Amino acid sequence: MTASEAWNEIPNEAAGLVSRAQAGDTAAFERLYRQHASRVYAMCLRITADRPAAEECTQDAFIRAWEALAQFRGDSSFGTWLTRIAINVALQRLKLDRRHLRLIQPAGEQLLDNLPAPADMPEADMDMERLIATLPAAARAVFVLHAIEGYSHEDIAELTGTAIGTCKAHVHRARQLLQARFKT
Amino acid sequence: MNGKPDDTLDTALTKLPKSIEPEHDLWPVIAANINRRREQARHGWNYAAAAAAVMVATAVIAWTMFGLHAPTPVNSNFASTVPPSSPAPVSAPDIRAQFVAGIAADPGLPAASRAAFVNNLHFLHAEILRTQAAVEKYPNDVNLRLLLLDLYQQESQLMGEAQRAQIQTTVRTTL
Repeated sequence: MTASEAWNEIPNEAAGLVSRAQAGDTAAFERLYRQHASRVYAMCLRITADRPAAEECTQDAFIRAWEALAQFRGDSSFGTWLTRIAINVALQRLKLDRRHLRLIQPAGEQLLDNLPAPADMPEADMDMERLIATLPAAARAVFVLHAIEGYSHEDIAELTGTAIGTCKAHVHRARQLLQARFKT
Repeated sequence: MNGKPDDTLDTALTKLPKSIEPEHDLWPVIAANINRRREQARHGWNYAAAAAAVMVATAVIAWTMFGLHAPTPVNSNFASTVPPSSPAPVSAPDIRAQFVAGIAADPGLPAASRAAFVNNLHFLHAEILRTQAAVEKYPNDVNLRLLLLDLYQQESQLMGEAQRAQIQTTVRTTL
């Protein structure tokens, strides 16, 4: 499954709503929001691992999408286009948060290493979502985009502005960390 | 993803929901932001139009005060649009047309300068009309609004330069 295939849009309906929204129809844009908000929110939540941040990113992504609607030419589906915007917003947010984190906690990236050992942690609490949330920020973002959203390493490298090798390393590291904790 | 389809990790990953409903409706904040930005853009456009109209009006008033009345048309099509005794201008387009006609018919300005001012003012005006039409068609396109604002500024600037040239020639003649 690719990221663009995951949206299951009804092409004509989406195109109609987008055209109306491009003409300034906020009701049409609200329909688009209702169709896509939960997917955008899920992705933002997994990347940021923080509910308030994910809510803000979702809102910001839709506001930016509204402002850039005139530039949407329909080369990809609206969902795919919107996801790209949301990813950029979430990654930007992550960078800001990490900058703040460094100021108050220089070893913020090593958060996972400071977690209690799996044996000490009740398994019931360690569901997959929570495990992903404990990954280091950069590895988590890349892992979410690759393993859950279905983006290729090349796409992620372009989106995050990093080398393909770095993306692969992040995914590999994330998998190792998750497997180690998931098996126990 | 790692080449092991039976991997429990992969199985768990595939079970993750693609969608998660936010705990509360996020639309009201989005709608409020969109409306606020629309208002700002609309006001911005209105301010730009008002600013342009004020600048054009100022230019015409100064032009009138310095006594730069259009004399007999000199080799120009635009001069014919100037009324024999100019009444008070009522709208920006009228003001603009009178201003351009005045420049076109000003004998104090060199012919090449007159042609350059008139041609550029006409070109800018045509671009403004075209961009205005595009803004009406795509009211949410911020870039179009910025382009329109830029064109207004260019037009005002050019009018200011034309006016300055007229004043300089008038002062030279008076002295």
